[in-house]
Amino acid sequence: MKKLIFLPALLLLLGIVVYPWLTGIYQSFTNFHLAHSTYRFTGLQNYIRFFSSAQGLQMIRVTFLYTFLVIVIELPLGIGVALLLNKKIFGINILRTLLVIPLVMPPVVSGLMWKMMMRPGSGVFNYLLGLTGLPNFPWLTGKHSALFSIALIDTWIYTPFVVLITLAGLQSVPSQVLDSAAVDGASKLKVFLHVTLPLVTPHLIIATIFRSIDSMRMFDLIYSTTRGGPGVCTMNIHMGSYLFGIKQLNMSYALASLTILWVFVYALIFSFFSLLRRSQQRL
Amino acid sequence: MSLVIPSKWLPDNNLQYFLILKNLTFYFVQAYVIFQWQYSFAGWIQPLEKFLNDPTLTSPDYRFEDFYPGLVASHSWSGQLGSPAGGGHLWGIPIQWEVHILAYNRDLLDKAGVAVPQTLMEEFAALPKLTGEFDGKKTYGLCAMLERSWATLDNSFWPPYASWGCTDFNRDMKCVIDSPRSVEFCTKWVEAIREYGPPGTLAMSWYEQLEAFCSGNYAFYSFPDSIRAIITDPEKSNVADNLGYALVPQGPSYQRKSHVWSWGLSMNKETKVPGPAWLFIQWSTLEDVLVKAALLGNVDPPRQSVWLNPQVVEATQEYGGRDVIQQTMEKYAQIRFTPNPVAPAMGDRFVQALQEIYHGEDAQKALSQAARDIDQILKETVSR
Repeated sequence: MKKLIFLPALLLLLGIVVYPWLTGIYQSFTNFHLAHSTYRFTGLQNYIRFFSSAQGLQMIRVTFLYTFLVIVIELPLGIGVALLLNKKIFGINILRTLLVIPLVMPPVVSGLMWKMMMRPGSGVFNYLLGLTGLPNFPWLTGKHSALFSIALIDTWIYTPFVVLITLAGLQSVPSQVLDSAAVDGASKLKVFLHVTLPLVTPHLIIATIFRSIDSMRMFDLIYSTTRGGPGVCTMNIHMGSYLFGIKQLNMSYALASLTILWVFVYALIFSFFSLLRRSQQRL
Repeated sequence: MSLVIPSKWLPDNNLQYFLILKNLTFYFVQAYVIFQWQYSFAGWIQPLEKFLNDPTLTSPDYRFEDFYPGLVASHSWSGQLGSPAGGGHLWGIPIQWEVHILAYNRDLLDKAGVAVPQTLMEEFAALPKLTGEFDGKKTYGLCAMLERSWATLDNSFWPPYASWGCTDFNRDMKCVIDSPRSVEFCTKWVEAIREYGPPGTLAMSWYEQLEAFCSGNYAFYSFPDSIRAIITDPEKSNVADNLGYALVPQGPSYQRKSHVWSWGLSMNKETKVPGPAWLFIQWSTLEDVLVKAALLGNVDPPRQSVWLNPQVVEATQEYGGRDVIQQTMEKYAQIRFTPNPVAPAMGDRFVQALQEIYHGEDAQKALSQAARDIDQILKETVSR
């Protein structure tokens, strides 16, 4: 009888998550197109097309490159800022409060704001570069710079998230452990590398998991800045799926692309979780 | 002008109450023509001529012939691929439009000793003279966007492309953006933007393009005329006092082709109350309602009588360009997209190729690949 209490939640979950998800997966194996009222099963056709097209492979490349960039920049930066904010100095609470401002802004607004600042002709970034005698830099319009520029915007928005998680980890490190390491004569660097870092590793893995998921399915920043351009330089799987489904009305291909993205995200999460389990076993 | 409202539609003798309670607003949609083609092909909206031609539903004062024929034509399509706009069913009643004309910065042209271009060749030749530094400020010849979106085609691209003798599809609905003429134009156009256009044009939206022109640092802007109120407002535009308008330049064969953009009201095919929905569409496009809308800022009304209404003429005179707009509307403007259900996707893919050319890709190769992709998208949409 007690178990029945979960029934409404379970039904809700089945109705609004599992059923649409399974329907989406099924439709990815059909030729479901919004311009037609009927569709039929077409097997792996959409998946074969995705993996055999240059466009599909490019989207995979952009998705993983973007995720890699974001993690590689945000994680060390987040740890550094968290270490600074872990000090007991005057005004630290105000700094911690200010830190979350980018996180509470809608990403589309942040994207448009940064797009304006990155404008080659009139943006503040190139104005500052000009003051130092450097030429205009094609932030969002360069073939090789656009994805990095979006990763930079991502860094501004989401590094505070890594900071918050890491800060929580740092504050849970028992002071006695740190004190005894210091008494034993360990340098600050050694204390950080051999005591603090191992103890906050589970927190870092959690931060990495969340940031990986978010950056693999990034849409709003790309849409609000480059829409996947120049050419297809910033076209990740999520942005491509939007174009397939909403612009081309080809929902089955869009759903196949999203299913592929889902598999990638899940594979990444599983590998991170196994890392997390191992790190917890070591502790 | 009056509308006869059948009493059966007025359960409480209060139309407004009825409209709100029944959520009638969900039964029609305002959409740009290319989306109406998409919606009609997918069967989401229904033809309107049966309502229009029903004397029990349409006021004798409605005078549909008062609408600009070109606009009505763009909202009409048979739904058959390859058939032009202007035939078949009527999918929307025009409510607002804009045509492309050429705006130029008189001051810049005078300082550079450049005459208003009559042809695209003259325009291209003038661009180097207008790009550089005048009075200590950096200036550019061409204000054109190249954002990765179909909207790029609708902002500055279609008039010169069509005047050059190019189009998107041939009569067999094969994409021909990789034709020799198209390759020639796209190469010239992209080069002109790269050398004499706005920095950052690849991520420039239409409103950023507008802001750029308002900065006063640009010479030519082939623009949709409905934003005249902004570029002529001295508080928003540095070019307001130096503004000139002209017809879009002719192509190599002396063809002058402008582009018209039109929004229309369409009706959901699934509506349970088509009569009241039609009544609302009809009311929204009545002459006196459109006069009020024009006075409130809808400066390009779809009815000829409203365009010529003395009050509207007086209210829009200050924005200038009425003669050029009227001439363009009467002689040179038509929608340049070929009717098809995937026009937005076609536009996106076309602009992707233009961006690739901008970054040094071979124009023939980029446009041929884009044409193949567009043919594929269209094939997937129409075949079952």
